[in-house]
Amino acid sequence: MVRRLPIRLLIILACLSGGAALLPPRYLPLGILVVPLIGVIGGMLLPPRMRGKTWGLGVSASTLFAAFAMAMHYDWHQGGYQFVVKGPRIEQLGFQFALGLDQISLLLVLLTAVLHPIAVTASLRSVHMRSREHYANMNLLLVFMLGTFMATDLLLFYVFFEASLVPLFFIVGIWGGKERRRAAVTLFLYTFSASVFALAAIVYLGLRAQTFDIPSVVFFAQNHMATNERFWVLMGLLAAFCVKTPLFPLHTWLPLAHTEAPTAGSVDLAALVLKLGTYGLLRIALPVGMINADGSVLFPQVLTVLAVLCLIGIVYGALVAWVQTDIKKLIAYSSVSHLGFCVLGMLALNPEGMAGSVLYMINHGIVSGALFLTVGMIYNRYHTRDIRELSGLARAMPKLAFFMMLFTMAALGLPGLNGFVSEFLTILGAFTSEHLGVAYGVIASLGIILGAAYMLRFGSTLLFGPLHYPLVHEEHGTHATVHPKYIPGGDITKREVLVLLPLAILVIVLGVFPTPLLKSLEQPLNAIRHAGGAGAVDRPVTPALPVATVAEVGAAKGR
Amino acid sequence: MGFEDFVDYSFLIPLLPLIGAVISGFFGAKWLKERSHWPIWIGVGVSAFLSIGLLLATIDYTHAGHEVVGQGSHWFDWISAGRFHAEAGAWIDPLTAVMLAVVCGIGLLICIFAAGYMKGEEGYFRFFAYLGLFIFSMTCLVMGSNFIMLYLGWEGVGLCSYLLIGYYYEKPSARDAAKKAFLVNRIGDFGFGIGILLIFLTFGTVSYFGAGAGTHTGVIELATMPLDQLAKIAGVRSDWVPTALQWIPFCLMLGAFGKSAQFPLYVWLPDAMEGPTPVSALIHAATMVTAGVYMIARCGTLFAGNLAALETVAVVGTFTALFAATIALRQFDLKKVFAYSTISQLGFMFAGVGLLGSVPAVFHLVTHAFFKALLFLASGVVMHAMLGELDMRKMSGLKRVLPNTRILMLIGCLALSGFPFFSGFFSKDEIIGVAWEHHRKIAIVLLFTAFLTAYYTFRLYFRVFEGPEVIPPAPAGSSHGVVGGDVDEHLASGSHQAATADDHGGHGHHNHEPLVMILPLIVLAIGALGAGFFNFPAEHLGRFLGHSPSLIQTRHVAERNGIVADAAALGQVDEAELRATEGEHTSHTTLMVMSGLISLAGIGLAYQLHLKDRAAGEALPRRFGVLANVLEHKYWVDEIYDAVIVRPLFRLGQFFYAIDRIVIDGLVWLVGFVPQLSGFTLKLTTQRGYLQGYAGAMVFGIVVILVVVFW
Repeated sequence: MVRRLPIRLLIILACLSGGAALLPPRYLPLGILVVPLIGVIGGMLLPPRMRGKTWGLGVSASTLFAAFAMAMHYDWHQGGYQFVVKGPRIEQLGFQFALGLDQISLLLVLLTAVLHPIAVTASLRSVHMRSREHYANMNLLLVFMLGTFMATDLLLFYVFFEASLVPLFFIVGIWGGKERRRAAVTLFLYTFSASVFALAAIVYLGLRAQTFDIPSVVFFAQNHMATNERFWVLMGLLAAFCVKTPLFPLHTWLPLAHTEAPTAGSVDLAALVLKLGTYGLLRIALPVGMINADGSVLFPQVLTVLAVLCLIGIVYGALVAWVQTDIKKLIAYSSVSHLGFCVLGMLALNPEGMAGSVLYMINHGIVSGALFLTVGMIYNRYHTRDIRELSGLARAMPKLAFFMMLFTMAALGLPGLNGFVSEFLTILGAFTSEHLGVAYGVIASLGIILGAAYMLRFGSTLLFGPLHYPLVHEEHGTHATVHPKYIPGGDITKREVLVLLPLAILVIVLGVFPTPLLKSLEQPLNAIRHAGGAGAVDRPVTPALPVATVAEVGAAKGR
Repeated sequence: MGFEDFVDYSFLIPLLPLIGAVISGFFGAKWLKERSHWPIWIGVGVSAFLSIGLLLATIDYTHAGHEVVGQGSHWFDWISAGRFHAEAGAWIDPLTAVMLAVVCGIGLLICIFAAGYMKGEEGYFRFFAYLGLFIFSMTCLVMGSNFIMLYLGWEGVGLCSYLLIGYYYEKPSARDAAKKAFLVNRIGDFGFGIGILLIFLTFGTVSYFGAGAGTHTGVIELATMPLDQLAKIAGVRSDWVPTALQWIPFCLMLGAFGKSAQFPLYVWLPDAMEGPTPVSALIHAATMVTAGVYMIARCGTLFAGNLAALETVAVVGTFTALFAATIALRQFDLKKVFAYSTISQLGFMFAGVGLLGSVPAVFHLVTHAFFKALLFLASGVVMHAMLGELDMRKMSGLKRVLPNTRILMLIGCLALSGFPFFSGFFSKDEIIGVAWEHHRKIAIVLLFTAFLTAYYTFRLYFRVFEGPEVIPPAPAGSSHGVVGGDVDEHLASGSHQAATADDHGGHGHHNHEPLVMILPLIVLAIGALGAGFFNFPAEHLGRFLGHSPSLIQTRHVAERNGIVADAAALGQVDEAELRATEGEHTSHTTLMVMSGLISLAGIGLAYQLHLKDRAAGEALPRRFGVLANVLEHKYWVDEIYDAVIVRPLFRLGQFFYAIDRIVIDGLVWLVGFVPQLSGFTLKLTTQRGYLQGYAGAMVFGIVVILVVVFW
């Protein structure tokens, strides 16, 4: 009976996901949000004796079908926003539930839909406590992340962006490591307080433009807003997105959260959640605050400051990653360094750098996710993340060694693997950019050396040398038991191979054939750079809102 | 099949070894096991066949009267974003053809040897998978049609080198050596990468020849154009051209110094000897380390306009040649001696390209590939027979137990020391000849280095193979996979087997000179003997290479910039010029006699000190105690690196991390503080509602955080 149940569940889920995939194309974005949402509620309603593993994984996987269906139905030649879903408009606020995808959104949605189920598999044998809630939280996070990438309404974007913190807070706080509480609270307060500034900026933008439709807001900001206004709006937006990205020196929440989160949480956090920040920068902060309608840069000084912070982050993150003894922290700091490249490419504001930047989001997602997964696999067996206690694992775990070496090489930018393409393009972008220049490219290139230093410290030390690992003393707690399938000194299981394999294939395929992706990014990035956002609608010009009007709106809302 | 057909199918040359590597890598551990070498043998074998076919077809093509020979082959678009395009494709010209033949030909021989050498080792399949991957990367490197392909191969061979040095990964020394090789190479690649970026910035493309030779759409030919014309071409940043042209060669050079182990980035190569011997032969002697020479020969036009860059290459090459040769004098490990000798010989090649002598440099590259691979493999046989012992102080007079190896080693040593009429003699002599004409000081240093080379080579030979027979006991904890035991016994059973069984490797693992290992050595020995006649006296190789558009354009640039380019050294010889320079030929002959005598002197000295009167040889270091000490510690370069670069950077990292931790701890403290504060704010702001109050507290909190962070 118990053995049969998951099969039934699987059938239900297959129907759900199949149903989602077979939706008429224009309802796909709605479907991709609603199906996992139903799954979340369904999961919570499961009888308490069930752990809801299959259900949880199935729900995560269901979005995969819908995302693939989207990619198939999307008209790549035409481009622009497609699958537009518009709900009722709240006139007083100008708020509308509006979803839509252009190529950038679609690629990030695909990344999320592919990586999230893979992340969830990491919980299957390591999360035993309150597992139904765990999967519910994971899937809720999925919904919010997808929503952020698909929202075409600024306020909706913000709602999803912020809401993603809630499940993340619980994931880190309940299923995390020893210092999970501290990590969760820090993560929440740090990012949340930064977002408040963005909320202020977004509300101001919406009231000024009398709409929250992102392309229209961008158009409005570029054509009708005063420099002073745009500066403060930009500052507000940057506060939120730079903390989320994270940009040096606002990265200090990240090592703690990454380290304490359970593997699935770390994977989601590094691979996907950080991309919310870079996506926000690219989609909103840059066009609203920094780019003029004619493509020139409004605040070159701000751009310079940001780029310099990126450079510092690249070098600083790499050096700090190099001296870590905790492998999770090492990868966490490597993210600081890597996202420095990502933002630097974006700030180059030329096709090469920006395309490289978006590609960087995808590649960093794949590679850092994969690295966290491999670290999780090691942790599951030896219950340590201390690089000094582990060595020579290639002897005991040849299959893991293969994958780990592949991902290490991808992370340090070996040509032929995906990391190289994006890293090279972002550096090239910075190097040839009229806003940045040769010096930026040269300093960023230092990452070539330092990246190799810390990634080889990770790969070489763990895999090579005499075999050495600590034995886990069995304790009867939730966090210190080794699953019977994980034999210390044994290789990764078939299931784990199956988890890493798709990522390995992506690493190679995206390294060899990145051109289709890069080509598809050209049009939306051009739109960001020049035309004030695709599908912009020019709204009637309104004079700058006097403060009284804001108060009136508030009063109207109150009534 | 004509030249064009070979070009069209050129994609097979890298592809087949890659497929072989994939098959060996994924199916070797479980199914192929002891047969794991077959996919590689077949893949590399067909590639070698195709490469040599390509070489012959290219030669035919030049004989058919084509002046400029070079053709591109487009495989697919690799990276394409904005103005940046990099195809995956090949550029085939005589330079490529020669390099391919060397890489695949020597590669095949070493793959065959390795099947015997690595027999019974754990991870046999892994070894061959790496070898296949290496041949793939190396062929991409030499045949790529643009700088990004070059970079792909460049880093790819670096990865394979890393994996193969770390083949015995459980040894900490192997692990550290592998890491060091990768990191030092990365320092070079940093420069190389910036060079590529500068090239793109200056010329708007990274392709060597764009749409083809003569179209002036690729970097190599764009670099030949006068500045004012170059500025008119779309996509060229005219304001950048003069500065960039100045810097590009220096950046590229840094990459070449890293990969080809030149001063000061040579430190990884001696450590790289931790890898299995076939790897040392293939990667760290014959092919990978010559990539830098190939690169500078390929982009000669970027260097030829820049006297300072050329001079730097030549001087660094010459200095490295001398420097490494002196260290080799006091090394006792066979492989270490050959490693320093490789660095030194690479120095000769760099001196050659630095003096715009691409032909002598490539010529030396070819002959060196033969004799150095031979020497490494022969010392591999010694190592195999001695169960991993390579210290020449512990062995002597091995000519009885390893008779074939001794002859092969002797041939290799003679070639390396430039003994008259062996291959190394001609090629080394050509480099010195070019130097003699253009830069007398360099020539003198190189001649002295040649003397040292002959001395240390024969010091090794006389110590190991001549004199009274001493067979070392098996070293403790023999790293080599051969089942332990007494060396004497091992040898005795081996000689017995060799005497009775005319085996074809069937019972070979007791025989310490099995056919599968000796046969490739014989082929290499023939090469070491005869490769000199590729370019002497008829200069076939030079004339052939002279059809490469890279070399032709290099000569044009050099002439225009008034830098003395020896036309012959760039393969540009026409009959009239040849007759005009008849007189110079005699001076060249004098030089040849001189260098022959120098080589003999070196050998003679080694004979005196290391065979005839060994006591005197051993007394020598005591007499020059300080000097010997300096040499034995290799000038403390490793220690200097550690103290000046590695440790300070690591300290810096720790310092940064300390800062980070203070900030994080501060945050955690704030986390306790902020809710209290917000509660306090709430009290003050009750009439305005919960949300705003909370947000206000948040704002205050973030300000505090920012103050803490930025402090």
